[in-house]
Amino acid sequence: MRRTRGFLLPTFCKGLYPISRYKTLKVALVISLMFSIWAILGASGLPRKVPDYLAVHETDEPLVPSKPPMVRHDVLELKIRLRDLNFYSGPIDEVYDSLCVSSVKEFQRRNWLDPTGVVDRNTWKALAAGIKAPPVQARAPFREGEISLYIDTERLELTVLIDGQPWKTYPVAVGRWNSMTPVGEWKVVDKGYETGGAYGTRWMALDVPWGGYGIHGTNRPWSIGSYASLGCVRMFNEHIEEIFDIIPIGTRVKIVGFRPPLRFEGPLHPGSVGPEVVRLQEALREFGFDAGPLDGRYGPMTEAQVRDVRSLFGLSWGGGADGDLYVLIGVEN
Amino acid sequence: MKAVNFLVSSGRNRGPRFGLAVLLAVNLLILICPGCARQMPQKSEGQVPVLPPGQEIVVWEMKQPHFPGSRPYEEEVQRVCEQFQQKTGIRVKLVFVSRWELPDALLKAREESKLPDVLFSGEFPCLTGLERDLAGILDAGQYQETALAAWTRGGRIMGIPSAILWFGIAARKDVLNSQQGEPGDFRTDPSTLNGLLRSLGVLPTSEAFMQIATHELSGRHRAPREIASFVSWIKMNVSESEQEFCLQRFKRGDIQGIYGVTPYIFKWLRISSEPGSSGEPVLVPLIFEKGDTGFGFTVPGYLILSGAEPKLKASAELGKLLAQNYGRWGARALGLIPARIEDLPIFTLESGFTREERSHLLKILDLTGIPLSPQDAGVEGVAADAGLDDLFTRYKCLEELAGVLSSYFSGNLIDDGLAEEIAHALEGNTSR
Repeated sequence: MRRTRGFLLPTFCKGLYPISRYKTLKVALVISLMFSIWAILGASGLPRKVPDYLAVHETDEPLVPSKPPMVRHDVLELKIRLRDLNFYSGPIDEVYDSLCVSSVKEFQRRNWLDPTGVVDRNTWKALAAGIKAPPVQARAPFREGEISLYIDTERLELTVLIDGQPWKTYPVAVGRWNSMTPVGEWKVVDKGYETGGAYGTRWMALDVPWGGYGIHGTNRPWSIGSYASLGCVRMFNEHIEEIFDIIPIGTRVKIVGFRPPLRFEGPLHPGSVGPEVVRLQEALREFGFDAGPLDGRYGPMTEAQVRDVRSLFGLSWGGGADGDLYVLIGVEN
Repeated sequence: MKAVNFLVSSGRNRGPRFGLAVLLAVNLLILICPGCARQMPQKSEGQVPVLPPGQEIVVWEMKQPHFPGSRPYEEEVQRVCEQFQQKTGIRVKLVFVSRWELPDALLKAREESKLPDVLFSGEFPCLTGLERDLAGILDAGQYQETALAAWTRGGRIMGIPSAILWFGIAARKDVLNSQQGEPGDFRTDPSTLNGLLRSLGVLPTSEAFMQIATHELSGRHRAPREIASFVSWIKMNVSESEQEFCLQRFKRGDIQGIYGVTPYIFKWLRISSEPGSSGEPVLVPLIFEKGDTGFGFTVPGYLILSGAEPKLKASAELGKLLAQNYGRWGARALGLIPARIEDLPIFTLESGFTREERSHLLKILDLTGIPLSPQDAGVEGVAADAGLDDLFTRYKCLEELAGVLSSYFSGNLIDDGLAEEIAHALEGNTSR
């Protein structure tokens, strides 16, 4: 009896030792309440605001009719959706012009919203109504192992890998031609919840050293499967919610696919960052001198590999990359 | 069968027959044993001792470039290590170390008593002062004399030679064709070579050039004044003495060749140009200020740092396999001359050089005992006493020498002070 005293509810319910067990239950309830508060506010981080460096790409600021008209990247997606819903037949561009405003008002009227022409969260939500995330089949049963992500911007797919083996592949939207998703090998450095705006319900930030890039949900699900974002990887909210908990901070994310045309005009030195450094690291790896992850940072590993190649090929000493090295490893313009 | 039965069966005459059988058996033994003896190696070549459980051989290798058409070097090395492991049961730990980080890594390993057992002493090899004498382990008859001499100090074999890595001039084919009527004359005619110098570029701070500058073709160390004289002669005679972007300018045709290339650059120039095009490079020997011509060379190899038997023997056996592997890979991928005599056909058949180029390169093999290498080959016994600190000194000296040469070729340093600056840069070496 002593062994189970105090914590086991079934024993308490039998009416034995009612006073002491009642006190025990009270303590247990207080502890569980404290734990619940900690879990909600602390551990889950709900609602954690999207960090500023990620927020440069998407915005929850409403689109407002104005003169001159607002010009913003999300107008393009708005116009595409309105056109698909037969509310708009004008040019598809980033200008929130009067024709588009009229279409929005008409859409709002038909959907029991205030016909203000202001595109706010409710309007985006109404525009997305009826779009459901397609079910994704697992290629293999889920198991414990190292999780990594592989994103192919040509195929517009994100694959979750377990110990290097594909588990599930999800459709995504990636950057437009003028704002491409950064090709390279990154890590998830932060993650959090959102309330369903431009970042959807979940977001994960990547350690791209230039700009702010991440993987997140969206309130524009019709864009999934296209080149729509300003560089981030968009997923259906249902999909990112499905994988969110199994992806810890530090998860490796490899992005392959299209890359912008690069200009290797000036030398790159230790400390340089950017897509040119990714290309340099990639070319070094192809050449047999792996400088670690293609992380766009000209760090000590890249420097050591560049020095090795320079020394081996009899180029002048130093750890910098310049014209001769570019032609040697095949990144010349 | 009847004869056997007759010999072994029991009977009245069993005694003499048994004696006959013993005699036959002894005869057989005598016949078989010399045969066995002939099949036994002269030395314990190829035999790998058994190591105590849990021991492993640590190999420090260096990365090599991937060239189209040749297998990645890492794969080849891994294959050799795996085969050795399967065959002997000895675990091999393979680590690729950056050339640039080697001195630091070695120093750290020495402090932590975790030195590798087998160490690839790169394209520009150094002794560390910690290597073991392999004279009793290596069968000298299997190696090119020139290659073995590079690693021999007073009868001690300090490393396993893997290949002969040469330095020469890469020149555009069209320029050579326009300079002389008979193809091939340029290689023996100093005046033609002198004419060619005017249209060459040079990489004066490259290790290859610095080795050429600091050594005579005979392998002897030049004094600072002689180095200054050579460098000054290069500056005067080579038109494009700027160190920057030689490869770019060669590809564009702005320069007609590069003085002091390693096989790496030559191979790259060759595979990155259209076969048969005017920009295709041909290999030309170096020319020196006194009119001497010839290819410089150095001998990469493997050092065995394991302390005692039986690990020393096991490491040496693995080192031999790795050295042979580098020699073969180098012959195929780069056109190096393998150090093992038996692998010379690989150079002949698979290096991609013309017969003429090969025959010129193979003249290196006649220069027995005078390798152009940073191992102080001409100074008997010096390198054998070198330690890790000397490895650092060498790196530091080369770095300082590169700074002096860079200043000189860019015009910031004049002829008058050159010899002094070179002496100062090489102080660590020359004072030994």
